Amino acid sequence: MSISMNSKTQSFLEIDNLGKQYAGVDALKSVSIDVEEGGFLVLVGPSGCGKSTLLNMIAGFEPATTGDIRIAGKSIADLHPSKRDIAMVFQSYALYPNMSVAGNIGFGMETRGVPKAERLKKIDEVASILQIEPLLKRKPAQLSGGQRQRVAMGRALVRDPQAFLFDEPLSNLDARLRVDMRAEIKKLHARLGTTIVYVTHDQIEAMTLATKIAVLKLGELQQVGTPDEIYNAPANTFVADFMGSPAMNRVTGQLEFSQGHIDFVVGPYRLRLHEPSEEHREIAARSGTVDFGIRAENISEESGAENTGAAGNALSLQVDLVEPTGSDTFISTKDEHAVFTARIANHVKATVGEKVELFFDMSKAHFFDSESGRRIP
Amino acid sequence: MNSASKLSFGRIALYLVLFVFAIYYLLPLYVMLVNSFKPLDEIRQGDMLALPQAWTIAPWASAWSTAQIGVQATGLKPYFMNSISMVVPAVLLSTLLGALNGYVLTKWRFKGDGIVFGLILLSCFIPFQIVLIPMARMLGILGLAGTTSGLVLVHLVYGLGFTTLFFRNYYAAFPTELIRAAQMDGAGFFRIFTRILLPSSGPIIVVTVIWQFTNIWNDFLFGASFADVDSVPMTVALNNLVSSSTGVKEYNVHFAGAILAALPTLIVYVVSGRYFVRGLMAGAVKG
Repeated sequence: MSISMNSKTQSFLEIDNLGKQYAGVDALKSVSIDVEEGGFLVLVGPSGCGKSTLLNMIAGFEPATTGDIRIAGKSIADLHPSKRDIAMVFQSYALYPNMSVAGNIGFGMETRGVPKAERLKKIDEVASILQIEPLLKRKPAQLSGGQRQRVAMGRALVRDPQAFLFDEPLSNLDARLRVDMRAEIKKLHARLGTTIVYVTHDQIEAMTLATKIAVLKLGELQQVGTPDEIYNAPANTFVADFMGSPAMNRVTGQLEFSQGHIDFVVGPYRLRLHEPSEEHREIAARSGTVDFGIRAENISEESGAENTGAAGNALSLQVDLVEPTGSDTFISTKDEHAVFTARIANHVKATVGEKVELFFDMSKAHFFDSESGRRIP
Repeated sequence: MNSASKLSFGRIALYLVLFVFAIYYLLPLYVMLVNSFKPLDEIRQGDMLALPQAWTIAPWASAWSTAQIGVQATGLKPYFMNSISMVVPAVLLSTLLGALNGYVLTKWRFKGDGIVFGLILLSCFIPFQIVLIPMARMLGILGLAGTTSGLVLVHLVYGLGFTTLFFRNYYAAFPTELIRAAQMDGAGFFRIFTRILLPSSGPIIVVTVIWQFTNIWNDFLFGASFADVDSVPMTVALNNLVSSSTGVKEYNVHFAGAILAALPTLIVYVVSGRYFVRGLMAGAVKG
C-alpha cells in the first residue's frame, strides 16, 4: 500500500512480457496485460491458445521462460504457489476426496497453523456466504456438481487472497446451472471486490463477467479491452469471429467511390459506408479489397429510425434457412456472392426460398484487411 | 422358451465344470486336513481319504510346540515368530517406500524419472538366484548376516520394484489438480502425501500388502540362504520338520505343520480378498 498511486486505475496485477516455451515451442508469446484492483480479467480463446498456461503461470505451477508477474508492484514470479497470496478454483474442483466439506475449506488454514476455533468460525462465515452450511459434514462424493463448485469457491474464499484464479469453473456444469453460477460469481465479485482472473472458452461467460477481456490465439494476445471494445471494435477477424453468437457475418468485397460516398461492393450488392474514415477513402481510391463484417443483430427486417434516409443500406436476399429461437428468429440468406445471418423479430414470417428485404445498420459495420485480418478503423 | 432351455443347459454344463475343478483343487487340502487329525497308525492303514475314526489334535500340538526340527525339539512356534518379525516390518516398509516412490515418480516428476522407474522395474525381472552371492557379501559388510533385520532388508529391496510399480500406476490416475490445490493451500511434500494421497490409496495398499505378505511369507530361498539358527523362517523350518531323518515319518504332524505354515496367507486373503479384486480392477480400468 506504500506504493505511490499516480492514478485511480493504477494496475494491480501486472503481467509483463510473460513468455513460456516448451521444448523450443512458444506456448505463450510475450503477453502483457494489466488489471486494475478489483478488476475481473477473463482470458478467452479456443483450446490450445495458452490461456490455461497463462493462468498456471500466475498461480505458480509453471515457471515463466521470460517476463514477470507483479501484484501491487511486487514481483511474485519466483514465489511458491502458497506464498503468492492467490487462491484458485480448479476446473475439476479438486476437492480432497477423503475430507469433509469443512475439512476441505479449512485445510489451508490447518496447514498454516490457524487455531481450531478461528478455523471453524471462518468456515462458518464462508459457508453462510455460499449457502452451504447444511453440507459441511458431507464428503465431496456426496455432493452434486453445483455444490462441489460452491465448496471449491469456498476453499478459495476462506483464504481472503489478493486475487482469485478461476480455471474454466463452470465447464462441468449443465447449461441451466452454468447460468445460475455465472450470475453468482458476478454477484460475489461485486460483493468482495477482489481481483479475479478467469479462464474460459465460452465467449458469453467472458462478456457477462469481465471488466476486461483478453483474447488469445496460439499463445499470442489478440486484443485486450473491455467487453464493449472487444465486441464492438474487434481488433482483427479472429476476435470478430470468436466473440458473439451467431458469429459475425463476413464477406470479402471492394470499397468503391460512388456519388461522393463510399460503397462496399460484392457482386450486384452495394452497401453505403456510414462514416468512412481516411483509411477507408484511401482503399476506396484504389478500389481495394476488404473484409466486411456485420453482426446478425445489425441486420433486420425493419429499416430502423437511425437508418431512415440513409440510402443504400437495404438488400433483397433469398432466404436459405429459418431458425426461430422463441424470442427472435434467425434467418440465413445465401447466394453465390454472400451468406448473411440476420436477427429478426419473432412475429415476422419468413419462408425458405423467398426473397426478403433486409436493412443493414451500416453504423455498426466493421472492415478488416482481407489479408492480415487487421481492423481498418 | 427356446433361449431359456439353451441357457439352462449351458448353466448345468458350467456348474458341472466348476464343481469338478473345485473338487480337484480342494482335494489336497481335504487330505491334509483329514490326516492331520488322525493318529499315525490310522494313516498307516492306507486310506488317505477316510475321515478319522479317532479324532485327535495331538499332531497339531506336536507340530506347534514339540516336534523335532533339525536338532531341537521346539516345534514350529519359534520359527513362526521369526517369520512374523520378518514379514511385518518388510511388508510395511516396502509398501510405504513403494508409495513414496510412486508419489515422486508421478507427482514430482524430475529429469530422467522415466529411466529411474525403468531401473526399479527391472529389479522385478532379476531371478533371485543371481543375487544370492553378492547379497550374502553385502549382508556381511553391513553386519546383518544371519539376522532377521538382514532378511527384512533383502525382502525390502526385492519388493520395492513391485510396490513401486503398483503405486506408480495407481497415482498416475490420481488428479494432479488435487496436488496443486494442496500446494496452494500451503501443504508441503510429506503433508500432501500423508493427508491427500495416502487416505485415497486404500485399494492399492491392500493389493500391495497382500502381494508382499504372500511373497515374503512363502519365500524359501532367501530364508534358507541367509537365515541363521535364531532367524530361520517358517518355510525353512517346515522343510526341516518334514525332512528330519530320525525315527518314523509323522505324516499327521507334517500335515498339521504345513497347514500352520499356510494359515497366515490364507487369513490375509480371506480378510482382504475382496479389496484385492477391487483394487486390481480399479487399476485395470483407470490405468
